Amino acid sequence: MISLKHLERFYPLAKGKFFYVLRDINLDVEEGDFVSIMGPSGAGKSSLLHVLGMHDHAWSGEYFFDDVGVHALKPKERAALRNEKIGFVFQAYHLLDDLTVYENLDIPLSYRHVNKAGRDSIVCDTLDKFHIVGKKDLYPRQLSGGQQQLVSIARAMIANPKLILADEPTGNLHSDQGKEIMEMFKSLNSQGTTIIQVTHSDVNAAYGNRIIQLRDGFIV
Amino acid sequence: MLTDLKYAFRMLVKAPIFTAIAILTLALGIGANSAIFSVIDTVLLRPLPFKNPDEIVNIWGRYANDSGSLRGNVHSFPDYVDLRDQSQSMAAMAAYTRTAATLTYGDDAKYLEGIAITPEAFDVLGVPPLLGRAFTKEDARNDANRVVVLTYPFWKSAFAGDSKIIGQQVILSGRPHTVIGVMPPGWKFPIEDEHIEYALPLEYFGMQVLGNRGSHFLTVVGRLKPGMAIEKAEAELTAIAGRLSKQYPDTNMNFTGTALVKLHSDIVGDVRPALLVLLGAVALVLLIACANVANLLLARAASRSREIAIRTALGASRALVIRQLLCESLLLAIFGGGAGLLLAWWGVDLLGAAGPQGLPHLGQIKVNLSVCVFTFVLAIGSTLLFGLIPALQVSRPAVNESLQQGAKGSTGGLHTNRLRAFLVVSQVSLSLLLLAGAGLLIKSFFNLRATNPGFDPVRVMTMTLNLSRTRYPEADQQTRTYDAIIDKLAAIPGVSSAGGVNPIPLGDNQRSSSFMPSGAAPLPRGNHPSASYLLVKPDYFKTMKIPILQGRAITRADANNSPLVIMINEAFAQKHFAGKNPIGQQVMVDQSENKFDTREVVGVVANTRHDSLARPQGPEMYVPFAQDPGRSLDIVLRVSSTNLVGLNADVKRAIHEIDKDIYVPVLAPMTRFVDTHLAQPKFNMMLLAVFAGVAMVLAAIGIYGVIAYSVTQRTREIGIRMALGARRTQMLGMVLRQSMTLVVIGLVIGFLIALGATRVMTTLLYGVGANDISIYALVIALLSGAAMLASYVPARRAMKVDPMVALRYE
Repeated sequence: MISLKHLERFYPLAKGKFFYVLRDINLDVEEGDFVSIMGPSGAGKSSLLHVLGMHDHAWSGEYFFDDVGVHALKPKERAALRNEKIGFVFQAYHLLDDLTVYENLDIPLSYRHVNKAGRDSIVCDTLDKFHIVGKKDLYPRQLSGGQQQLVSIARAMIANPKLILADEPTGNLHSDQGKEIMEMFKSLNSQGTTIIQVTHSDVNAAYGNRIIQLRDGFIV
Repeated sequence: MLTDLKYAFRMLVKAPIFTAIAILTLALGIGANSAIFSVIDTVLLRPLPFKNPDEIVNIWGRYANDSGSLRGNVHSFPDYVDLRDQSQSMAAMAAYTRTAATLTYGDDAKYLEGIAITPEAFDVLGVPPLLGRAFTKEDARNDANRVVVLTYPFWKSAFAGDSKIIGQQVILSGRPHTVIGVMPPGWKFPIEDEHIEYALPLEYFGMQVLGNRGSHFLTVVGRLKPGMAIEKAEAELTAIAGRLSKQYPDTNMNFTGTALVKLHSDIVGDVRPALLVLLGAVALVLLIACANVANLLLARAASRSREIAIRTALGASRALVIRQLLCESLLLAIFGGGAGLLLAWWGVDLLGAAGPQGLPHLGQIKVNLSVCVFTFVLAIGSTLLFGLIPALQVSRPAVNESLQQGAKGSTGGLHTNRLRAFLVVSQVSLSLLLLAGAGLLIKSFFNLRATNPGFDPVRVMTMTLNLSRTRYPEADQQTRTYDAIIDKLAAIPGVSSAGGVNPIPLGDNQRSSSFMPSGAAPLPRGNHPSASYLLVKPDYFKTMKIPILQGRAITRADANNSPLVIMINEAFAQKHFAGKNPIGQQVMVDQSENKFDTREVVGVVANTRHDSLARPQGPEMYVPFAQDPGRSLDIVLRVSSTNLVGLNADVKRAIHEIDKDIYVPVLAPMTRFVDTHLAQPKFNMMLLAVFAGVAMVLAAIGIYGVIAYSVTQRTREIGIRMALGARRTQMLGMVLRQSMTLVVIGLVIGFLIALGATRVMTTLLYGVGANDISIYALVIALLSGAAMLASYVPARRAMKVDPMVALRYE
């Protein structure tokens, strides 16, 4: 599903020097994998996730997604591919404060030009699937951290992506809530969704079937 | 408090760009107010330079005419004498009219403008001369030993302020006059006239001129007895007018009453609406400036919410926090006020130079103590206006929340955003109001400028000549001399034609006469219609390019001993000879002592705007100068080029070949008379346009500030949205939508306010209604464009938000 070849990400420094965040990354991820990326702070975990999520375009090397060469795509084409295939879950949930749970779930669909009736139907199904129907009219600030992350995962899943990228999804949660979220990921993975998560936790990493260690931008 | 001020000063120094923008914004708002206030203080609020000026009133007459009721401060001398002698409510009453004379000294001559007044004028005005004495009733009666009183500027310029001038004789229009007094500096009467150089008794005109009760040409002014109510005095004078009307029905049938107007109100009456509109405009500019600074303070205070929360956590009461924030506002206002005062200092010179003539004290407009006090009060008021609301807003006790938000780098709350939105909406609506006002005045001005005066003023030069009373006492002499002068002038190379007229169009002098057209039902003399009465030399119409519609022009054959003829304008023909061929009709023009001249209409000319560009001309009569000559004539020359090199000298030489004692003034282009009439509307238009422009720029800056701040505040949200699949153009649209929603609300509110508020400008408009939809459409488009531009710049930043960076905030 994903194949990275000699991928490098660097920032230019003064006097013609560069600071490398990712170096010579070669990685293959199969459909249905549950991959955990681990490593110390500054190792390049989040950078790798943003490259995979096609938010970052300033890299070199080759990136194939479902056999499509992402490196050869124009920004608009990458955005279209991302919208179709990828969902995101963030450590800080990143729900929109002034929108209700329902409206937060509706947003990704509106950006994919799904019509109103279609959106309503999908949002209702998702609320039901994640058992958050009772919360649909609440604002994020009225939810606990675990509930907010649950909504965030629901939002990531709503457009039916093949891949979920999760950046320390339990980082802001206490252990019980974290466990609940990881169970949710496992369940999604078992239904066929590929998951790549960044985590510092060995326990969370154990939910996956594969661990990638990063150190100083290299896969070790 | 001192510590607060010191800390506030340090905080302002630490943010130099914010401080500079806030001070500049306030300086523009406060400076504009101080400048306009200095004009209002000088023109409207400063008392006239007379004793107890509130007791001085202009005494207008009410006259019934065929179109209803007419007011005019034009009385006959006998009516004035009756009003004066019978009135118990007035302490003194005086009559006056403008006059002119040629002062001869040695080989040179100078044209002077003066005033002929009754001796009571000095009692009415209550100002004694600086040197010598005022003239008395005895002086007025003694025509053999004529006296004159000089104004201070003329005494200074012509006689170098020589105090020995008292008792000396000067030659005015060929007759010796003894200088008996010099008025003090600042004394000017009529107050709106800048050029009065001398005053002499009105009685010198002689009873042949003054004795006719039907001859209305005097302005009457009076002083109320102390404590006398103006309404009571008006009732008394109206009763006297009623008695005169019954006593002299032939001349006074239409003189139905009087209207007393305080002298000051009468003088400033015309400019008061314009000045008040301008004051309203600058007040709006200040409001917009305050809204801008309030917005800046809100943005800044929001970024300081953590500091404020820490202060509160350390024990500062809300009042102390507000005081601290207000200290910063106060410093900004004081610096802004100071800079505004400097702007006003510079601006009032421009206002004085660009302002229309005829305003009292126009040359004396300056930033004085009262303007400084006004500015100081304004600065303090502005502090409360722009500083208090943000201070109250950000000092709301929410320590925990603010500390947490501060740690996450997030800013602003819902209340703050609503307040900022409210400020932007206010700015847009106030700007629309100002722009609509300016737009209406601009359209009005261009309408006025495009008005065809009926003559072509381009390449026409003019000057006023006065012949000496002693040297040219006879009518024939006057005619012959002016014929000779015009012949000489027409022969000058570069002069294509020369003519003469009295009075000149748009020259602020009007002359009218009553008459009866042939075929009309007879009326008592007091009820005769009247029309403008102009004396013209042959070739006047050719020189001014006034089309002759019917018949012929006046020629030199229309002499003193020829049949009496007259030309009329189209308005006269339509009103008095409707449905008839006016050529060959007769007009009986009233003369003194119940006599009249019967004149035959020989030509009809197109209407010209003689009195005002803004008003269509009424009926006019053109009489050959040779058949009613005088010593004064306005010469008009059509020239091939207005390059005056040599022309003035040629003209002077040509006239001095006929009489070297004739004073020859410098030629003035006819376009100057048109420009003078456009000066007041141009002044209003330019000022309001400048203020509206400033308002629009301030509003655009305000919108920019709010949207830029909002984009910064929403960076995380935009990042999330983009991470969730939003396209960059969708983010651009989202920000523009947010901005334009506020702008549209502001436009709608502003439009509704402007529809009502611009009605106060009706008197300032010409050829355009206060609710002219094209102006509103243009103004809305302009303001929307500016707002769009102001929003687009920060909105582009929203497009460039990198979700990777935005989401790394945590």
